[in-house]
Amino acid sequence: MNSLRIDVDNIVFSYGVAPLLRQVSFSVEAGELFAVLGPSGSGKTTLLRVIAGLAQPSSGCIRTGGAAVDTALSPGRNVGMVFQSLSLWPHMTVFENVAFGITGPSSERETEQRVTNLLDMLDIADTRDARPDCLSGGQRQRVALARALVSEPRLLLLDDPFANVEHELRVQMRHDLRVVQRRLGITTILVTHDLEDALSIADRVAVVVHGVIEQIGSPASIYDFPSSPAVARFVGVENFIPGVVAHVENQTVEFSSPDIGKLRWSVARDRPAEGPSLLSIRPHALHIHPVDTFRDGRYSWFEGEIVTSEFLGEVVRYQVAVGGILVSVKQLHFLGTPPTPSGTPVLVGFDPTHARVFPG
Amino acid sequence: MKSYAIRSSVVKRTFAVLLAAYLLVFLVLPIVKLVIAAITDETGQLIRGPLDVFFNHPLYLESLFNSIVVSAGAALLAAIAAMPIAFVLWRARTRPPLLVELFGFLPLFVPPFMLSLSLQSLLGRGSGLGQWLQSWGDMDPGLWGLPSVAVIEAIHYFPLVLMLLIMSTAAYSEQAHATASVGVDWRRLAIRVFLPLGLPGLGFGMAITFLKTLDDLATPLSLGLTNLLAPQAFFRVSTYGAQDPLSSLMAIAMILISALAWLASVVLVRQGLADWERPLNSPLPRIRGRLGTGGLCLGAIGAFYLVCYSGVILTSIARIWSYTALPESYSFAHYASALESETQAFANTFFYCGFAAVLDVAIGLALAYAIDHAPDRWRRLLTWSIASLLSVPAIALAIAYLQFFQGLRLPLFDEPLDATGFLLPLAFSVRGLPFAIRACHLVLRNVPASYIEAAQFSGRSRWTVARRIVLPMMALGLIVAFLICFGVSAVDLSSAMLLVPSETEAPISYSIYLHMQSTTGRGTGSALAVLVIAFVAIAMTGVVALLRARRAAAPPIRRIVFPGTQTH
Repeated sequence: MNSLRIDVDNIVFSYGVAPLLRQVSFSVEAGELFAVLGPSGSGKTTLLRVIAGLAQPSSGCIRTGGAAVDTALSPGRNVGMVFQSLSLWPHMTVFENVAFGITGPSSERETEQRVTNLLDMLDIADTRDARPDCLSGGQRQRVALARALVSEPRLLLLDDPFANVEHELRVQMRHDLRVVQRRLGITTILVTHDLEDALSIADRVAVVVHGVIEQIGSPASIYDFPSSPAVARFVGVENFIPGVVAHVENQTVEFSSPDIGKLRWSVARDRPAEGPSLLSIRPHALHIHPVDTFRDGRYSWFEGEIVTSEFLGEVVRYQVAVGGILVSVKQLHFLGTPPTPSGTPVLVGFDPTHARVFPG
Repeated sequence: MKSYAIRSSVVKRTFAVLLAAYLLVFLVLPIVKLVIAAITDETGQLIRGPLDVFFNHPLYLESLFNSIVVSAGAALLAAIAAMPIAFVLWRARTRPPLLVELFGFLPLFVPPFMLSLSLQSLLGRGSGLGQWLQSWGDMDPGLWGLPSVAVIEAIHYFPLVLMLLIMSTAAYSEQAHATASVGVDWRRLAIRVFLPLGLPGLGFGMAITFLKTLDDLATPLSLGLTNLLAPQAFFRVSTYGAQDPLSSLMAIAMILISALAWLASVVLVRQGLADWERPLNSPLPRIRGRLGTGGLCLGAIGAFYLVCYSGVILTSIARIWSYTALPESYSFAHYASALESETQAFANTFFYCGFAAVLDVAIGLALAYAIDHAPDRWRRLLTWSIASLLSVPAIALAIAYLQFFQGLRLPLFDEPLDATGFLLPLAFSVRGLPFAIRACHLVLRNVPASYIEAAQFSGRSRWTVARRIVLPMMALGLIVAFLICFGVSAVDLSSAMLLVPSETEAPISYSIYLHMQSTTGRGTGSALAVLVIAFVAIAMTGVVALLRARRAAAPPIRRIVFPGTQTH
């Protein structure tokens, strides 16, 4: 398939008074799997519908292969889409569902061949005469994918196709999708609310919050270097400690917080601005030690007391009271090690390079 | 694309104009004319004569009072009977099978005067059972007076109220039921849990019973009772013609009473339409194979109705039946006679009701689509307006039609419009519209937008998408919507009695009524009644069978019969 580059340029979409999308711009390279990640109501599905031509933007334009395209749905757009509900037509068999997507001059034999090849590739050939309500969740998802691919689109749009699927199947489906996408080299935009979906298979991720693209980057960069507290929250940062940043020396930063006291660390680059700030640390970037242990100089330390502990299997989650706030800490669980009981005074330490400081 | 958008917009506007014209000509203007006729004279001057006559004439005042009391009595009796049974079924966690639940809606498709005639055959002075029961008092319903109307209507509509209560209280999960039941006194459970859950269904069921009883013309007449508003209005029109201001006044009074009752029912449930419909549509797994108390209750109710309708059944197969408990000899001659002599009535019914149902489904689809796509505040207003159509009694609409269309001639046929059979299906269609819109609403809900969008992505033409995706997905729902509208029209005897130009052009319900009025025709009339009930039952069974054939189709039919806001 001949894949396509797509440019989304300053798209604004309003429904009623409040705009759902505000000046959204990004580009997706040919053959790339691009994920749009955001919480419910952030406008990500609306964005996908605008790209698909199912919704008319208030302003802005979409270019494919460098040429502006009509924003209304038209047969010549070469777009395939998998809907969140999958929307398989219940009165048709798997074969009929998939074959419906073939238009233009195509003999019965060609149709048969194309559909069969696709069903074979997606490993659902044995379901070709079954109706959708007889299929498992995974099979239905594959049929929806086959239907979207049968017209050989140059752009594939996926609207949260793994939603409402149990975890094990979800992992398998993600993997299958990535394999097919790589094999066909088709430009793909995946909209999802699930961090794991986006990080695990996308080449790049855009985080949308309140109709605005907050950050675009590789999965690792989004995860490690969130650009704002909103993105940080969405990618799993739970601890936001308010305080004030001051520059002590050239490469040293001091963070003063009424809750955790004064912390100092060195920064080589991207020195945070002085003034009121939020120090964000992931729960698993924090370590708990007994209060009387050696304080490793590579870490910043503060004292607290365990309030609650939750055993989650792989990890134990602690809520530690530090000053007037609660800090969430995740510690790996090791065989035979019981969780530290509530009420235990502890030292909490973190590697400052794993923390992010946002203007407060 | 632009030309398509313009074309689409023109089509939508044309539809909207046609729809508005239909509602204006066949609903709003006739009702306005009815009001004008009641308060003005031939010169257009305001008069208060009809009002004076109405409020000073003891018979009319009595009729007004009787109509309200009898209708309210029927609604109350049906509710009183349904509540304990629904509670027992609820406690026993018995959800009736779909077919039984659908049979609960039979009262909407069978006219109540059939029950009246059946009970008269069974308990009347001429029957053996009636004679035998003489020692406990006279059991002939024809001799009880007005209470007999209330009792017959209550028995007739009881299954509907019961089913609405069951569906209303079934609207939550097994776990919630268990939580509510564990360790709670049954009285507290009934008052604090069962009643609030059942109130939406109860309120709606009582309102329907009230409205239908108020509008019922044939049942009081079959019992020889005329001191009610519907028979009085009918007699005034029959005697003085359609322009009689007093009959208009009675029709308006009936509309006002119905509207008030409808509003009262909504106030009673203290919820918006959408809110009280929601619980009716919640899917609860049907409990199978557990009969116990609930099963016995349902069996007893079935047996009771079999006994009630045995009068009609026995009359239909009786050769001679007089002063004996059962007929002396049996024959199917009445059926042969019914099928032979009433072919025209069957054809008329199919024409009138079929025409009305097709119109209803078409208009219902358009209106349901408009409601679905309207802004929120308009959606609520439209939903209420359509639902309020239920409070326009058939007899009031028929009188309004006779007044409004009098003197108009049918263009091609050059005949007076009211002398043709065209007014009847139009009246049927207006009356069936609330049901049609609800049904079509669900039909549309069964085809979510994403299914159509998915088809459009293929690049197929809109016609292909409509033919291969939309229509097949809507087909079953449309058939059910058609059957509902057909059935509702087929029992609308009040409209038929006023709008049918001649007996030869009467639908089957009117023919049954006419047969039943004569002693010699009772056998044929009963045979016709049994055929009609059997037809409705077979149609319902057929629909259920069709649904069962399609896996997972049971929830949609329940939603179609009792539509609401369920999403796909």
